Amino acid sequence: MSAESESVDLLVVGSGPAGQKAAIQAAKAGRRVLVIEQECQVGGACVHAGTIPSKTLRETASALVSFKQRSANLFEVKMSPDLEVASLMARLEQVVKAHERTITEQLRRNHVERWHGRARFVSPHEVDILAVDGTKRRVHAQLIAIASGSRPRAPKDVPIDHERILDSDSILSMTYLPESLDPVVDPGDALELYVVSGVS
Amino acid sequence: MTGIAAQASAPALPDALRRALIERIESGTLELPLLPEVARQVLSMNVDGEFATKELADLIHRDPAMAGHILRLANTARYAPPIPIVTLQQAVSRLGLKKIREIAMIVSCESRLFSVEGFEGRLRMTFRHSLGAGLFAQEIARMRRWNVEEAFLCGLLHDVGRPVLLQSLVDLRKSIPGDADAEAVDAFVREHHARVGRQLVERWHLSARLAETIEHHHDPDSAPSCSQPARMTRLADDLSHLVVHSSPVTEEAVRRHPMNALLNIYPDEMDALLQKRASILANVESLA
Repeated sequence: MSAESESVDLLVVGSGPAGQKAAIQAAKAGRRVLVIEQECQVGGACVHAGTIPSKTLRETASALVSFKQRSANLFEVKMSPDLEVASLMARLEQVVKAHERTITEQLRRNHVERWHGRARFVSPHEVDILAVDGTKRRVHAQLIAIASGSRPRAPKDVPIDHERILDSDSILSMTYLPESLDPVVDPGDALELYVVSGVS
Repeated sequence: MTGIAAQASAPALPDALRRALIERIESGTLELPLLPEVARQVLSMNVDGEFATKELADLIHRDPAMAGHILRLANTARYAPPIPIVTLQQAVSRLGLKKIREIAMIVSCESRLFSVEGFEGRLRMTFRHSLGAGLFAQEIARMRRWNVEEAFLCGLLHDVGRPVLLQSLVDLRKSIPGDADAEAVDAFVREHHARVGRQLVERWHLSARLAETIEHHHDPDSAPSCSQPARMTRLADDLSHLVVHSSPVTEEAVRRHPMNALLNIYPDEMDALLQKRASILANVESLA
């Protein structure tokens, strides 16, 4: 598919779970499909910042704690706190990369085309795609599926600086465990973090 | 230090001096300055997660030079205290451990590293440039929702191999005769500083990620596991060149920087980074 004004049967904005399924089903039905993803990698927040990372961290932390408890008299498990975090993050990266590879391969196998950029409607059937290098392309589509997902809420009265006050994305870049956590927004997310970090 | 700046070929150091320096770098026997003891303890505190305000203030008191610097820096615009900070305990409780760690590292670098006899002016510029790179790296990390504290260290320490090499050069010239012209020194330092920076960071027991990032900040794609932090550092390096002191790096070059696409920085996000130039320059002025 080359430059200026392209035409497809289905244009999908976002490569998270919803976008992937829509794209693959349409492709299987013989439609020409294009997926637009604003991030460098496919998968959306689900793979990179949401469900997969938080569940991977929770399960890895639970497995580590469980191993320590069950092997109390047989194995001595000693890890420095920074190594524990490094291990968790290394495991997280492996899992995320595996998901990313699977999704990329699924899209390729079904001949779904993928562009890296941001989508903006210019008419009910036309979208401008802004690439990260600033170049623009226009696409005409018979159908457009908006599957742009979600992002962490940033309440106006909470100055999230990703340094002392983190959101559910930036907390994934912790390099050491904090002594305590004070949840500000979502108690559900905080509960998972308590399990992962073992802090109060 | 020169990411996208043009580099010309330069004359080499006298052979004996060059061989002696390379032998020390290769064998890991280069004289590496120690991290001041108080700074080392402050930096290790976060890992345990156990500290009390008074304990930390007492610890900093043991290094009068550091205590003075912390009080001075705590009152600068960067940390914007609502009332003047006059005691260390007040500084600790107001700023928190993360900021105290940041200041301890700035003070350690400035006092222990960036002061080599005969190279004072040049290292003053390098230190200001490194501060600028640290502050830009923080802004890139905030934008990408990465670790802001680690990003600052990547920028602050990316050129830390330069003063180490210059100090070694000064020491070796006492025993090895021969003139080394400025261009030859620059070329040698440019070629080897990233590797020496890694050696210093490892000696200071900072993180393996940080060591790898510093070694690969000129060639991020060669980093085995930290290519994104290395890319961030390379972009911050050039943003600091553009903003902190005049250099061959232009605004146009930064807007077309090869790291932008790899870091997923769209044109409006680069605009936002460049809009911070005045505040970053003001912070460099107050911290350096």
